[in-house]
Amino acid sequence: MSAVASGVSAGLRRLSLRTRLLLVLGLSLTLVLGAALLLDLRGTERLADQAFDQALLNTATALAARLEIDTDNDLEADLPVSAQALLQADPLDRLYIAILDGPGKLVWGDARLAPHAGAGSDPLSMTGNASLDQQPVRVLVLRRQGPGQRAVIVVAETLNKRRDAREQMQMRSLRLGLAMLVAALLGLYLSTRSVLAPLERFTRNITGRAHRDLRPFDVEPSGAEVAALAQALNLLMARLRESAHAQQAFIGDAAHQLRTPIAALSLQLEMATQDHATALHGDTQDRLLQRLQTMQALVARLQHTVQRVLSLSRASSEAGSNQAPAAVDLADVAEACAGLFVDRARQAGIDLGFDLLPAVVVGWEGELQELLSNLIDNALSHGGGRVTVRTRGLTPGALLEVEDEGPGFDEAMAANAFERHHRGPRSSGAGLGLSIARTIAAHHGAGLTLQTRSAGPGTVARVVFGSMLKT
Amino acid sequence: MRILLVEDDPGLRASLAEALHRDAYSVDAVERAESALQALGDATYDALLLDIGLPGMDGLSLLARLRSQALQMPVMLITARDNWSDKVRGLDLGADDYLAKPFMLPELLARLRALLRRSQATASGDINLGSLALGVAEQTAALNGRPLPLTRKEWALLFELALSSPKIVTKRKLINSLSHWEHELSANAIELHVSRLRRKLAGSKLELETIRGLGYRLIDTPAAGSSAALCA
Repeated sequence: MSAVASGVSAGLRRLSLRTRLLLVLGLSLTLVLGAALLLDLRGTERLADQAFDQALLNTATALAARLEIDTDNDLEADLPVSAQALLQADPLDRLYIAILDGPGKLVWGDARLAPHAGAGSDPLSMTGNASLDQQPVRVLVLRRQGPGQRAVIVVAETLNKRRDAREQMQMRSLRLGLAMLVAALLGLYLSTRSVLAPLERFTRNITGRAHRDLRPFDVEPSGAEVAALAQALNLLMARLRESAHAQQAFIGDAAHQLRTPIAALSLQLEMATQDHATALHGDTQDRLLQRLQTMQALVARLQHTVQRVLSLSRASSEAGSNQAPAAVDLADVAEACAGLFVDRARQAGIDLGFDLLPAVVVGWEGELQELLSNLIDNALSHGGGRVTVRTRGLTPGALLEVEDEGPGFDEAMAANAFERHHRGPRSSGAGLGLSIARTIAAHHGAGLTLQTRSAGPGTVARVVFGSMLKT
Repeated sequence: MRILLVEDDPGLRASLAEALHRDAYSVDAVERAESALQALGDATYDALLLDIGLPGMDGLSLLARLRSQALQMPVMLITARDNWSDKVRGLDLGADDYLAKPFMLPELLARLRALLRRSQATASGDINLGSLALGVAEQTAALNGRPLPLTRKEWALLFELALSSPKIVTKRKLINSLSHWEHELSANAIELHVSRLRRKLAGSKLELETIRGLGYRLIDTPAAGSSAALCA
């Protein structure tokens, strides 16, 4: 029993609150109304019986009034005409009458009723379960005491009228009861819906948000519970914002601490190389030049890596950013990024080109530039031949592609490409670029995929932006 | 050329000052914005290299102060924080360029030259880019000291490209700015003028590079070596 109960309650818990409310309230309401209906049906039965019993009693009393109980103890029934009339008055039911004297001798009427006169001495008694002519009858026995003589009047009636009346009343009760149940359930459904509406609105409000939007929620005045939930969530949001801000501040400090010395170091190396160029030549000097050049290359790589690490942490921590996203044309983003890569492409002998059509998305321009920078950087490192940046508007959404004609990639590489420190065989970077790009794409509700180029070897990094983010 | 450098980190300040000095700039380096204000009151500078993160008054406040005093010298912001809003605010406040740390010396120098070229063009009406000299008043051009015969449209094209060098000038922008001279210039017409111009520049160290699908840029000496991998 308890196993069944716990099973039911576990099943209930899996259902939505609204379904649970509807189920529990609907079930109890149906039970209560059903019980009320049953009681009502019973009541109707009694009510019908009472009314018809009263009519039967009236008949018996009327008969009794016609009896003359003589002083000589002779019982005379002077009723032929009126009794006959009574017996035929009702087209639906048959009426049986018998009048007996004290010792039980039939004075007038139907002899078959004699056994019902019984031996009791109650002035009035009623029996419901007799039958005459194969029909159930209701029998009423009225006893009258004269000066010396006793008369017993037995009246019996078939049950047709009672049954009809009872059925009519029950049908009415049943209809009324069902109508009430339907109305109550409908009311229940509508009221749970309207009561739970603020909760559902709130849920939509939460799910519809850009996932790093940590601004507080509006507190709806309708529904104290929902308002309390919103306030509790807002407290949590505030804490998240605080920690995000702290993290951002830390990254900012780290950035400052790391970048300034690297910039200075890089300048020093540059000048040391220049110094060397003006100095005397010799074996030692050549080795020194080699060392300087190695150091410069190392600093350049350090610089690149620091930049990547910082922008990745920034991209991951900008959840607390209060900056609202704005409409950004990816074509403009590509234009802004172009200048930063043309020299590198030129040095690498890669033809960096653009194929730009308006492609407006809602997002953060700085991040989108970083996203594209990482994709171009990746294409220039791994690719060869031509690298093409492409933007297209979609309905809805937009497309950003960077296509290279490099050796492409195999399945194993594709699976690892997004891992934070994964480096391709020809990569000189720290393998952070694609990881950053994917993080930023995710911020924008966009998906980043790497695909093999359809025409010839090469890779297409494709970012598909969905419909507009909610702000 | 006299440059004022405002940078609080002593290591970077000294290195930058020395590097600029070697490139034949005369440099005054200060640590704080307050000292910079004083220096700007005492002397005239051709350009200002300004770090945003400074103790006391920060770089952006100093920039706002300068621009409100109608000091029009070119300003390049330098920052270690790649904060997008800083960049936008800096450019809104009237900075001419924005350089994120860490940077490579050739890039800094190329940008500084471009900055000075533009400000000089506004001030004196002349543009010098390597062996190329453009006179704005009479729309003259000279290459290696010899006059370079150009049509009006070719000159306008070269002017736009030289003014922005080594940055890319989009084809759209070229069409817009050259359409002043005639009704409406087609993309094909631009390509035609560019190829003629390229022939006329042949043999010099200037290169008119096509950026496929985007536009053109004019560069002095092969590859000035921009190493920035990020926009911000």
